[in-house]
Amino acid sequence: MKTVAIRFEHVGRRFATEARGEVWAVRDLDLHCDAGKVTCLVGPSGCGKTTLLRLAAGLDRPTTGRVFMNGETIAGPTAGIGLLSQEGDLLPWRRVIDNIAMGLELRGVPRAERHAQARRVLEQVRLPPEVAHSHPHELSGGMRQRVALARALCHDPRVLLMDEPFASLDEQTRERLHGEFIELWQSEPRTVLLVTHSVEEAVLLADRVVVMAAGRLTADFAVASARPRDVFQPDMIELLRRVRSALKSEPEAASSPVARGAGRKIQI
Amino acid sequence: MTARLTSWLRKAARGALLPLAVLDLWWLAARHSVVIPSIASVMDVLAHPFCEPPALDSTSLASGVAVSLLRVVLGFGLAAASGIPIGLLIGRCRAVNEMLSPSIAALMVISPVAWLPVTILVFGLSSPAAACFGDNAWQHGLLDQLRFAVLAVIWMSAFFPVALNTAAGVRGVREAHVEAARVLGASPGQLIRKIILPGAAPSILTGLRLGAGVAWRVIIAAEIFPGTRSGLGYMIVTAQEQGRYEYAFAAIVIIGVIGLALDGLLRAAAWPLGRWQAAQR
Ligand SMILES: Nc1ncnc2c1ncn2[C@@H]1O[C@H](COP(=O)(O)OP(=O)(O)OP(=O)(O)O)[C@@H](O)[C@H]1O
Ligand SMILES: [Mg+2]
Repeated sequence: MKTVAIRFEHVGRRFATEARGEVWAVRDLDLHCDAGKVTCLVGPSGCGKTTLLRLAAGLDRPTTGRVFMNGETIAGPTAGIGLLSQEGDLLPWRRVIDNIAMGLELRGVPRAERHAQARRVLEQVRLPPEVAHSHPHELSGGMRQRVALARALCHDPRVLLMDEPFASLDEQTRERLHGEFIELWQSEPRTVLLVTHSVEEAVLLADRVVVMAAGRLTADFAVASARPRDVFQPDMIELLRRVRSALKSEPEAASSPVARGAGRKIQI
Repeated sequence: MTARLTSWLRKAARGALLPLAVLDLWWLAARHSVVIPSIASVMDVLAHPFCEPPALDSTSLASGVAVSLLRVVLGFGLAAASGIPIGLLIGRCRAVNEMLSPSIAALMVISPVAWLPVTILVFGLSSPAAACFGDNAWQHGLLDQLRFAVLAVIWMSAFFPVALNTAAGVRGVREAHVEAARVLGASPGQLIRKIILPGAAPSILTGLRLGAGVAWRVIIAAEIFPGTRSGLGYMIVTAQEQGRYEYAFAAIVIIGVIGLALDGLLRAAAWPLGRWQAAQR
């Protein structure tokens, strides 16, 4: 099976904001996400995680540097990516099954065929088949999250970009989805870049945990333990401690004037 | 069941209170006046829609309805067919918005009927029939009555509500929905068909409803204007000139009924959208 790697090279993204002037959401960042591996990105709110993911999805262009997907520069949204965005973005006027099959529909796959595929994916994310004909607003938050995951998987992308996919869920649902996500990934390893605030989530799911602060990478941890993992394993506890201290050591500089000044200097 | 029935009956009774009071006043007024037509005479006109009274240019109520309705359907159809694409452009392209907005704002405040002299100047008395059949146009009575000048006024009255509501709906489409489709590989055309238009649909339908309502009000006013020689509005002025007020009253009743039916029709078309729209709020 062919897998794809994502590479960020000296990537910076500057936004012009009315209230805060120019803000570097990401600055001079290098990151290589290995093919077929799960890379988790953790960092405080506002450190640039979503910005980085949007760059990888081709929804945004970097101000400086380049982003590569499988060795090619990204110039716009490309086929072969599945994106799970931070806020829900299911189409409210479409039934669940037509939301899931959207990617195939856009590629011109006939209705019967794409619905059959959508039903298979619906089962993979453990949703009951009768949900297929509901509208998104008739589902719970957790179910909607699964539908969004199913939509991202339905056209069988090689790369999965996930922006805090489990953040708004209760602990039990989250744990169950973690387990299901890992099963799904093990059955077909895709390149995954997953953004999260939760250090525990990162340590449980990732092959590699990357810590981000104020638009830069500040630490990088490989996780070798076999799956399924448990946060109470000694090596997990140790890793948790180290990631937490890496997060703490970096002050929340994203919005501090000093950090912004530094960002400007790089640009000029 | 009975509780629901009684509550429905109470609602219906309250709603009927005012119309009944008006009918009562009308009946009283008709009894004490020689000009005000009796309810019975108006009902009689309504009961014989194909009767052609010589006093009224020998045009029947039914033909008046047909002409007015056809004018509105055609004019409104043109307004919908042009207003939705132009609204889409205004909503999606800043340049088009900046180019058209000031003109639209200025044109909006002018009553469409005021344009009738101008459109008559431009189109003269030409009609779809004249365009198709030339000198034999008079043989195609209904088509000959439509008159481009009147159609243009109807188009103008419905165009702005349709275009502006479409533009507002397009602007209101969530960027997250557009991006979700882009990541799934949507082409610009697919974005419009599968995201923008469905997302803006509730607002577009509101625009169509408003447009149809304005068009129906304007057609009656336009037909009262000298220059048109048919339709319900024309019937009302001639009835007044001839002192045959029962025809004017009957025309007013019909205008109300058709207006309600038009609105009901477009409301019914919008109904399936109501569910997800309500859930979005
Ligand atoms: N479109 C934009 N316009 C202006 N500023 C932006 C824009 N997008 C992001 N930013 C700024 O860039 C910085 C990083 O934002 P980003 O959304 O990437 O953070 P995040 O790490 O995803 O945060 P969270 O964990 O809260 O989702 C913030 O300071 C934000 O205000
Ligand atoms: Mg974010």
